[in-house]
Amino acid sequence: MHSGILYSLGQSLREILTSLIGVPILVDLLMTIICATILLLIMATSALVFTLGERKICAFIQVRIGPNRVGPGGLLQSVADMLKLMDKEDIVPRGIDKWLWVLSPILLLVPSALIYAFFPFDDGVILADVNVGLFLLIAITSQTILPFLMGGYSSNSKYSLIGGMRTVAQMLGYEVPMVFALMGIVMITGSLKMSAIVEAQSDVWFIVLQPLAFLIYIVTALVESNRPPFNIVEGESEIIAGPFTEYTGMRWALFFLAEFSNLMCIGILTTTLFLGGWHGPDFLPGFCWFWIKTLLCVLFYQWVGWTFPRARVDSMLSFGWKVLLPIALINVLLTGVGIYVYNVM
Amino acid sequence: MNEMISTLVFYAMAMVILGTALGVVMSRNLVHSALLMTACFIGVGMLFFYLDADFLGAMEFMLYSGGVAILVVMGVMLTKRHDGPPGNPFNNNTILALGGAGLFVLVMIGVVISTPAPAGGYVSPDTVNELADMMLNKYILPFEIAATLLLAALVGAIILAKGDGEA
Repeated sequence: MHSGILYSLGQSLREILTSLIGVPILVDLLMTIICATILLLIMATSALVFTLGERKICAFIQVRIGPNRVGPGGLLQSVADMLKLMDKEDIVPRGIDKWLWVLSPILLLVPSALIYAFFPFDDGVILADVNVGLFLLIAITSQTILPFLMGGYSSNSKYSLIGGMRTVAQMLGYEVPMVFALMGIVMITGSLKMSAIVEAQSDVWFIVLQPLAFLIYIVTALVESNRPPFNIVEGESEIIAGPFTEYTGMRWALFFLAEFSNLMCIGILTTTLFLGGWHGPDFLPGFCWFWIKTLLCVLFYQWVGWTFPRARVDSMLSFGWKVLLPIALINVLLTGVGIYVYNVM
Repeated sequence: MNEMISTLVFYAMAMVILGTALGVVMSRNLVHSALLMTACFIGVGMLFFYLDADFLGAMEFMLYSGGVAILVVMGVMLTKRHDGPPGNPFNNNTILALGGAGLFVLVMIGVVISTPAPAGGYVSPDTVNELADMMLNKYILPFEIAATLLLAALVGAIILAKGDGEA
């Protein structure tokens, strides 16, 4: 049924485990734990790699030198940064709402890690191929708002609170056009299942059929993942660092781990929804195409951030509601008419 | 063994839901109450998933813990008075509260007894299509009426928020 190296690897691992243990439910549990561990490792490594990109490639693009002391050409800089972060003193400010403050960075990581379960990495390689995959994915992504708000509120600092409020305004505002943009894809596929969406792109990628939705998605994805030029939540020149102003050391690093994980998520989602997922010419296995496309998308998203200045809050919000939302609605209408015409012909 | 695990999962979820729901009414801090309510919503969403109602579960996440809860939390945070008494004070109406709660329990018991339990019939694995079919064919009129009502509420809220002078 399914082909591909990753799928057969998983199948043989399952066979080995079944012959060793025998109880199906335990084998399932073990397989899930193994997959989740691999995904978490990928998530943690991506933070390391993307930080390096954020420093070296960004420096190259902006005609600076960037880190060049640690390791050959500064390649070990991220590792040094990580060690430095672990070594930092854990400062807990006075006057905070302790429980909410401690929980906020931890809870932020939960939805970011959870959505990796819904990504089809290769033919048949998906942890949870649920019926409402895309919808559930968006629903879980929307849970990241609350931890930001918690962190902003519990820090008991005005900059944090303003950052938290901005998160709500920005993420709620841009979620609506994003959902409507993705509606076009769902209408063409006729399913919310992630594997079905990739399957529907075996001939034509959705970037060709849904160019308008693709453009809307690029903008909303940058906003939803707090990437520059839309990172008004943490706008350094305005409100220091927004919700994570009062955090230090590893607690602060958790916020950044979540941010880089979200960056990779939007790369993966762009690949899966618009660029054909793991489909590609036969000379490379599916998961290679998947990662090549994903990393190119991530580079693109970072590049946008390095090139454009930060948007203003008010212009950004009115752009979301007054420009993107109508365009997304028109896209839904056009897609409906297009499907009708295609079916009649 | 599968049945046992399934029962255990159910009780774990029930404990999360009841615990957070109790926390909502017991907590003295109004913001904590609102946040615990979000946790309760997530628990209820999990329950939907447990019952194989994927779409309703995702809906619960999206609308209740993603939308409603955030608005409630924000409203509470913005209207909290730092100089006043704690936001969620207890009062002494124990007898009235007990009476009300008892009445509610009685009504619920009546409802549970009088509702025939659905026989474990066929449940379509594709709930989304069936729901869409029902909403847009069989129940199109109530669906449209609800949509119009929501639109009117939306316009009303915008007019209220804008104020008299500028409108």
